[in-house]
Amino acid sequence: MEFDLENPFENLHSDAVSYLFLIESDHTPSQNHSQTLKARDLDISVRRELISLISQLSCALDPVLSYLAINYLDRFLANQGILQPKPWVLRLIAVSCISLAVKMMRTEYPFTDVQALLNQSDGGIIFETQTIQRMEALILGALQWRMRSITPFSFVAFFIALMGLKDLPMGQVLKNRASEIIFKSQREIRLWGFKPSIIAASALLCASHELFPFQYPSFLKAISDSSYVNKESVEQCYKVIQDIAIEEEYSSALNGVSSSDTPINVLDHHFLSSESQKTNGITVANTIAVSSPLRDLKRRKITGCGCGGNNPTIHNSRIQFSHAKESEK
Amino acid sequence: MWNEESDWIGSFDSQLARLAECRMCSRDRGERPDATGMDLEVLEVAEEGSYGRVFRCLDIHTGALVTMKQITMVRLSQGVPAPIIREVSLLKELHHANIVKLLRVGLTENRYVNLVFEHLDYDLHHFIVNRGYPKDALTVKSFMYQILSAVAYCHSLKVLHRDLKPSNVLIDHSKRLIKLADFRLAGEFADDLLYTEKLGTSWYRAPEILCDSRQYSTQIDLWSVGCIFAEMVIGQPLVQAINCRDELEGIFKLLGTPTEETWPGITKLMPNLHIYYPKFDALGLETFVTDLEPSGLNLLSMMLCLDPSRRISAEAALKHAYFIDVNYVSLLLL
Repeated sequence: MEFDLENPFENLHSDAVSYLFLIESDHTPSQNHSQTLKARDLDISVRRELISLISQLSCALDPVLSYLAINYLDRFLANQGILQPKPWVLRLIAVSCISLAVKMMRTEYPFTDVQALLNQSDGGIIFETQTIQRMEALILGALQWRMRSITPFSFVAFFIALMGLKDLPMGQVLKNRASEIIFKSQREIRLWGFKPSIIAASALLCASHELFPFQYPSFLKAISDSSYVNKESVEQCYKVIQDIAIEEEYSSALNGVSSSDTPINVLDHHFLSSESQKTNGITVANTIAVSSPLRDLKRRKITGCGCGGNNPTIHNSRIQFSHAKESEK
Repeated sequence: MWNEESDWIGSFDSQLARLAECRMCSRDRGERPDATGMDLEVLEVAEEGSYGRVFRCLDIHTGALVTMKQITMVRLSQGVPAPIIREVSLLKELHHANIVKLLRVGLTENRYVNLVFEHLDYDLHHFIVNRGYPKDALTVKSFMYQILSAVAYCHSLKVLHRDLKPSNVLIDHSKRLIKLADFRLAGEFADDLLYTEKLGTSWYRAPEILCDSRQYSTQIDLWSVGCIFAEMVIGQPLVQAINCRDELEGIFKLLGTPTEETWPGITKLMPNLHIYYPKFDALGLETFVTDLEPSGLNLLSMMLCLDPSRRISAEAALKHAYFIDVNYVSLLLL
């Protein structure tokens, strides 16, 4: 059977929805691991590097593939951290996560093409199939072969129905925007411990607040009233996701306004590139900006210095932007 | 559990060493089952199939009996085969009291994937052949209820079994507990069809499959369950009870050769139907399935319905009048 992020088990009955809520924690890095990971800067930077690698290697593929590969990565990291982040090991992990995601998605790409793509590298590292197989076996074992990941995408349709928007154009618009937000927020370490259903609910609320502010209160009530959802968790998660969405707007504005020479471009985020409107039923808007290689290089350079914080100038600029936005209202 | 001191590279290296050792053992022992690294003691070969083998094993740590299915991996040029990853990952998500539990999965270097399942005393085939079929009407009803519960659960997840037959219905004898086994979810194993043909399990295959339809769905499992139901009552495969040239002829003799009226779409599916099969009048289920109460016979007729679109679903079957007097407490105690 086809594996689809929106319907990991192609549930047809409401009982199956209960089932998704019941077992989603099994497919999520646990809260304890999340807190432990947050305390380890090394692992956070390793995760960031791995995500960058996965995005880079799979940029020509369906963005859903990247999403699934990163999900496998996160669950793998939760199961066993990486204390010796050698470059070739990181690359092998990235390649193996993508390979497993490709196998689960049953993509239309011929496997040889995917393999050739994965083996291309600026470092010139080419892995033997046997090596990849061993890494795949290790990851499969760490994830206990539970590769049908339950992600926020598994819950979007449920919440849209709860908001009374099933089969309505408004529901589709919300779904598209929420999907964008879910894709972008995957990188955010602060979301690591939240359950997929909470992330889905928060992304939808964020999208509705942004697109349909007058209906937002009734949507909030519909989701808050659900017995499946913990209200406090949604509030906390919503704040993080709203931050991410604001940062996105900020970056987009900067991309549009400033030249590549301006120092504040170090704030650029690496966005997922999407070449198709429709990906497994999830529509991803083509408005996502793709950062230039130069900006990527700069960002990596900053990360390499170990200087992750914003400098005062950038901070002031951001405040200025927010202030301007507020004055417009 | 994640451990601050865990050395992933060391872990990888030790796993590599175990895999290498495994390979050496495999070579030395020739045909010996390759269970190195799985902490199992192999007791006997339970079954041979072209896809792999089945072993009865002892779990060294728990002392429990387990069943290990060893599947030969193909297309290793692409790492761990995708069909195996997809199938195992779905098996891992099937949680139901009436479905056999997949306990552990292990990979041996370049050759096998080992699936370790819980072990049950008997299968229904053995029960029927060696112990006389369950003549107790309550046992038949209890078994049917459990089988349908498992099938309804799988169908709610849009998982088909595809090969339901008595030997895939496992029995915990002391508890009268039923567990379905041997799911073949996507039918992706290369030898799947060959394997099925070899064991002659077409006795339980739905007519739409026997007609070579490629568009089938959950209804095929309900036909198989119906055949199992009949077999529990009469003590032999239903089709075997009918004098016939092949399974399809047997079905048509029993239920009548289909027409556009009884099975809409049949003339498109089998344009040469009446060239190969005479126009039989239905002998009727009641001719062969005696000793079944009227409501049971009614349910059976809804399962063994030629037209797949009119065949009863597992979910609906559980609500049929045949089960109205099922005592849920006795089901738990059985």
